[in-house]
Amino acid sequence: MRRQRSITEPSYFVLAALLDGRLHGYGIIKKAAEQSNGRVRLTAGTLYGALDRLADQQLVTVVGHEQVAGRTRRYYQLTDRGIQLLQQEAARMEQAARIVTGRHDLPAIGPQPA
Amino acid sequence: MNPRLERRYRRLLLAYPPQVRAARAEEILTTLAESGSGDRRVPSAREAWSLLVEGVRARARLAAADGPGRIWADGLQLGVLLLTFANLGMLLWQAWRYPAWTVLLGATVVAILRARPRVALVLTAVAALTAARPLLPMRLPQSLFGWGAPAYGDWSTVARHLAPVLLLALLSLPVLRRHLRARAWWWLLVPVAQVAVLVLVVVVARAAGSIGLASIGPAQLERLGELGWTAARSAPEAVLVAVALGLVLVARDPRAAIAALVLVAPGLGWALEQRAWLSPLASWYWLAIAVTVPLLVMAVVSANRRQRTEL
Repeated sequence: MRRQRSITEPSYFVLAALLDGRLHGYGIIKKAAEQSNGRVRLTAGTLYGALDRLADQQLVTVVGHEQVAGRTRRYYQLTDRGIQLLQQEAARMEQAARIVTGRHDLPAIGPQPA
Repeated sequence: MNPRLERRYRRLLLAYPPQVRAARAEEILTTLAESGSGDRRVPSAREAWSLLVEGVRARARLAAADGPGRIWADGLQLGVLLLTFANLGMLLWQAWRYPAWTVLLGATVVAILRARPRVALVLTAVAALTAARPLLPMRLPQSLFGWGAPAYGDWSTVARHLAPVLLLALLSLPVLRRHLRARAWWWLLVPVAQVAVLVLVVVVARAAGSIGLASIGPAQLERLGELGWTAARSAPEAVLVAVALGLVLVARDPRAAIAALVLVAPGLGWALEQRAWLSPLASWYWLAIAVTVPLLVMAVVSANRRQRTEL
């Protein structure tokens, strides 16, 4: 049986950042911060670690590169498998969130007893 | 990015395996420069830590891509190497009494480093047989086995010398042997360091007895040497176990944990048998090791699983 892969939060936001099309490394960092309201601040190490793991599983792919001030910049894009996994993960989290957000009888939060 | 900062980032990138570094280093530096980390004088602690961790993770991932055989071969090779260093170190302070033994274990270290498990297996088998000669039902020819090697009368001590035989037999199996790689010669600095520690222990012992060297007899000197040597063995073991657990938890690399298990587990039987004679400090040390062993097993299992499944 094939084991279910679990997706970490940085990897999720890396995949989600690529939904609007191809981006380079720093573009992904900016987009992930923007889409998480500043909560996910990817470091370069974390970003490229995630990209390597995602590329190994053919969830993202390199679609081009350019030279900027003598340095290489690669562009990444989601693959069909990547889009599919992202949708599955989003559906899973939505279902988990609905357990709480779908309830109208949540206990009121009042002052804690001394 | 100023050249000084770039040099510092490049130094941190050494944590990555060479092939990943060749493919990624320039791109990572571009991203660091663009993300504002290039305006600093020194790398931020956050970026530095993440480069180190991801570098080690990349090494583990690359090894895992070769299959579980590679992970176990790497871990066991490191483990048996360290165990041989430990066995060599145990008697190094009286090496002049056991020249044949010292040469035998020294040659074993070289064979392990050169990825020759079958040669190392023969050498360790001879060493184990020699060490166990009082326990054997038949008498070994004294001329061949009796000279220049220690002999033990209890199996728990002999276990420390039998463990490398078992491990090297495993590493000689084709499924593991084909993954073995020759290791850098700088590992030979370990016995050099062991000798340095030994010299230090003797110097300290003599300084302590400088009130009159005659008042510290050979027996006391030997006892002091033994005590110092026990400490010199447990401290590196404790450091290795801590590093191994850290590597598993942070970088998901189970290889050092496999090595740590191989190194510390054979001593447990001995500690159990000798428990009545252990000093309080030694008892606490072995208790900590006994707790650590199952932790290390769990860490290896968890790292293997996370390596395979986590994105």
